[in-house]
Amino acid sequence: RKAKLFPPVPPLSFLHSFWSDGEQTPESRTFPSAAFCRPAMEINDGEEEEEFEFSRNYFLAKELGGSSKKSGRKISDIDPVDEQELRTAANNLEPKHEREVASLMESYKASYPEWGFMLRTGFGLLMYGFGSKKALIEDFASTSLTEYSVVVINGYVQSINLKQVMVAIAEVWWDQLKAKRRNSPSQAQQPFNSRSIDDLLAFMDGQEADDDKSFVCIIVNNIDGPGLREPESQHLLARIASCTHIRIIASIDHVNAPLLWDKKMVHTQFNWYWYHVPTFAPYVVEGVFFPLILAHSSTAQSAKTAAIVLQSLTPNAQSMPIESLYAASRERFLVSSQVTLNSHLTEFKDHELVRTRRNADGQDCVYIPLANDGLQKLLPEINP
Amino acid sequence: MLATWYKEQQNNDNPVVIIIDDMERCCASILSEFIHMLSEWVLKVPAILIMGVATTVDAPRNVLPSNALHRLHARKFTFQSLPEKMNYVVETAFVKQSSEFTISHKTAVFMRNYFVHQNGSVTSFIRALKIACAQHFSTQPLCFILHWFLRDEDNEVPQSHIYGLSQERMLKLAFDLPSWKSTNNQITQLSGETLLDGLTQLKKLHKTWRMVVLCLYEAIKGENVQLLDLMCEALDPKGPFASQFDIGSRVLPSDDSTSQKFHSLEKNKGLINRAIRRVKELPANQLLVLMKAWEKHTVDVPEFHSEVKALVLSLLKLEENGESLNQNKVEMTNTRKQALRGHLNGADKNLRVANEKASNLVDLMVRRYMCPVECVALHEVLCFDCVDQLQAALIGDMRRRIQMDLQDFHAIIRCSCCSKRGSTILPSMPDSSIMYTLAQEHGDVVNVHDWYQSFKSVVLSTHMVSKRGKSRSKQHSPTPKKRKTTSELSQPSEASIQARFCKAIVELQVTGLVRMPNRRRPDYLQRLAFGS
Repeated sequence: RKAKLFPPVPPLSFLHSFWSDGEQTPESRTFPSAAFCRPAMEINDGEEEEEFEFSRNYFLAKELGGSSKKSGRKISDIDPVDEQELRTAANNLEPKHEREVASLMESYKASYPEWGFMLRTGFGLLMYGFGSKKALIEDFASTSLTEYSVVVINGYVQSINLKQVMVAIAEVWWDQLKAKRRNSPSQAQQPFNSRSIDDLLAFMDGQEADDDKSFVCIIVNNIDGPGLREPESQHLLARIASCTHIRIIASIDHVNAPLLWDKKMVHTQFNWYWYHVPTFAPYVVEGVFFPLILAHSSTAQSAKTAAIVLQSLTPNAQSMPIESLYAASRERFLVSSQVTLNSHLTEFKDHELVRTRRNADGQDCVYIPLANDGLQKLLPEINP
Repeated sequence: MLATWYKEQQNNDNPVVIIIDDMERCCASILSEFIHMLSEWVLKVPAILIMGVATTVDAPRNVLPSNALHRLHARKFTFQSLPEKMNYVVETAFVKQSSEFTISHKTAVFMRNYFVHQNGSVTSFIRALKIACAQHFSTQPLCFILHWFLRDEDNEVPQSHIYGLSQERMLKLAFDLPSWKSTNNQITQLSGETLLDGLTQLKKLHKTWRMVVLCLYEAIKGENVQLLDLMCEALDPKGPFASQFDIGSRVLPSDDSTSQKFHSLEKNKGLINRAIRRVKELPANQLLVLMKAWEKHTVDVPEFHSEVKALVLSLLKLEENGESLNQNKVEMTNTRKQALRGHLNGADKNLRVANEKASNLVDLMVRRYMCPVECVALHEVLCFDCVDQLQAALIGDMRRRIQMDLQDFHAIIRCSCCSKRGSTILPSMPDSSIMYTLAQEHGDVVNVHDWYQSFKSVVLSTHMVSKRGKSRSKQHSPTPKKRKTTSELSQPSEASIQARFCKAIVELQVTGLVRMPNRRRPDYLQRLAFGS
């Protein structure tokens, strides 16, 4: 029997590309769970062939990319339509295969009893496959999990305060316990939002309802989303999922999502049971925070809108504390982290578009050392 | 503070136990300070420190300074090794008399490979087993019979209505099982009694199979053997040991002509053959130990039990004679030495006879009673065989599956508009699939403009042939007349094509298949996945 090669794993650059929007890459972690690796079950030669196909395609693509003459065409050569028109068109697009997608969703309903059974058995359901699974999971919860409390976390938003989420889960579990007991508890309860994370976890893992099969179900739409990708968030979610009275259903879309977890998280804490449920439903909410590629490059757009934010201040107060700039930029979804904002600010400083000074309160502020009309002239230069 | 607590509680008979999960992850200086503190307080707060060590036994010596080490009164404490733990788990789950649930040969091989190649942790093996159980219980309507087996009501037909299934439905399901149909097509009367007979036979054969595997395992226990490997051999319905079980008949063959066939098959390979050989070659004391273990395991099978008992007795006698002979060895005259040699030769001969008997016994056991469960009718009730389902639940191959979803979307969506596409890129395909397929023709970076032009031409044309690396037909379009009418009716606007292009790229980004342009290459997208 020939020796089995360890399944090919993409080069480490893929680890960095996972966090592709300029955020800091995570510090090194334990080797990712084997859920990421191709299975080495070479039962027949066909499967072995497939495995080599994967690495062969990678090298072929690199070779092709290196050897062929690069087309010099620019995005502007496409002659993109005006942004407003583009966004309107995007909002009015007719979905394809509507009927087939609807019947596909309908077909998954037959699996709801099995999903419920696996959940009650203690597995965490991990839904993957192309297409938004938000509607599917929420439909499953609203039809098959009616006797349990459900908390939904939307991982596709830019940032999530997991402590607040835990407080919400603890309150829901507390309500569920009270409803079962129908009398007030013996000890006075400290309010949940003043408790520590460990306290909250201990409460959710507690022995209050040993014989009871009740639990709180957490639905995490896009557990691999930008709001939850930090290792601390994943570790905390894993600890929550491992509590006795918590069950978890999550969806993932990114091909590198399994890199988020180590063995302990996959097998013990989350206890993932993988379900392949492609829906081909459009990624509406999941894609909201991604810029449209033809709607001007993100840097220029940020520069433009950041400048507009500054412009909107009164002439006397045209300096702005950096924290406020950060808050305003986040609200307008221009940046997702302090790092991104800092990189933009550095660029502006290089072009002498902004300067920093300290205000009366001692805060660092940025200001544009130009008059309004100068600014108006400058903007077209930023956006070619 | 701890001391005050300790005094107040009534626990001051018991020492405090402090557990440190992984000693090597701790900061050495803080740990040694902590040990100092504990040792200073040891009279008031007696403490036991349990430290987990991930590497070698002398790790504490490497991590802690000597003054901290001196204060520790260390004792080594090791868990079972991984192979030992695995053997224990497999023995308890499949071989010992616990439940009748078992797995097919293919499943056992898969789980063994999964353990060896993927994870190597007992936790993941147990998890795989749990998933197999859960899948079996949720898909096999007759799995309640496992509970019936446990209740030991062998003389009554299972009362399926307790489990929510009517008797007729239960009988229909049972007699429709493939294993029943292939082994019992001549039986016409399909009643509860027939089912009871079949289930009784199933239980009996499974029990005797377990007995044989246990005995074989006892024989090669000392040789660093994994019980799971042995079990895989024993479970194989197409293996050399299963060929003697005539699947067409419920009665096992008892004639000795099959033994010739048995011995000629792959004599030297496999753990089962190794066990059989070992039994032949064991010295007296080890053979006695083995037979005593077999005596325990064969209690429920009288035919073997009596033979094993007889062997044990004869080996015990041998042992006694051997001891008395050895005692007399010290003071001997020549004539007595000669007599002794004679006695010893006799003892050797008796041992060889015992070895021969034991080896015949194990031959018989393997030949007649090691019937893989998959060769028995109605085995689907207790045997899990859906390897694909198990593998899918355990290992989600994200990178490959997402790309396959995009490439082979028709297998999922099953629309009529894209059914006859072959290798063509049709405009009716999902936009992300179109974009993904087009991207395959580029290297690791894709020029946005070119990609857009390709996308646009697909959207606007009705037919297009796409081959890897070639772009000759991109400008192909059908006959002008037909084109005019269709294009007049349904030609999408430039804005909508651009919007669709942007949205498809967003979807590919969400799935991590492409990366947005950066400052170095503002007009190129980077591909992050290169096909399955």
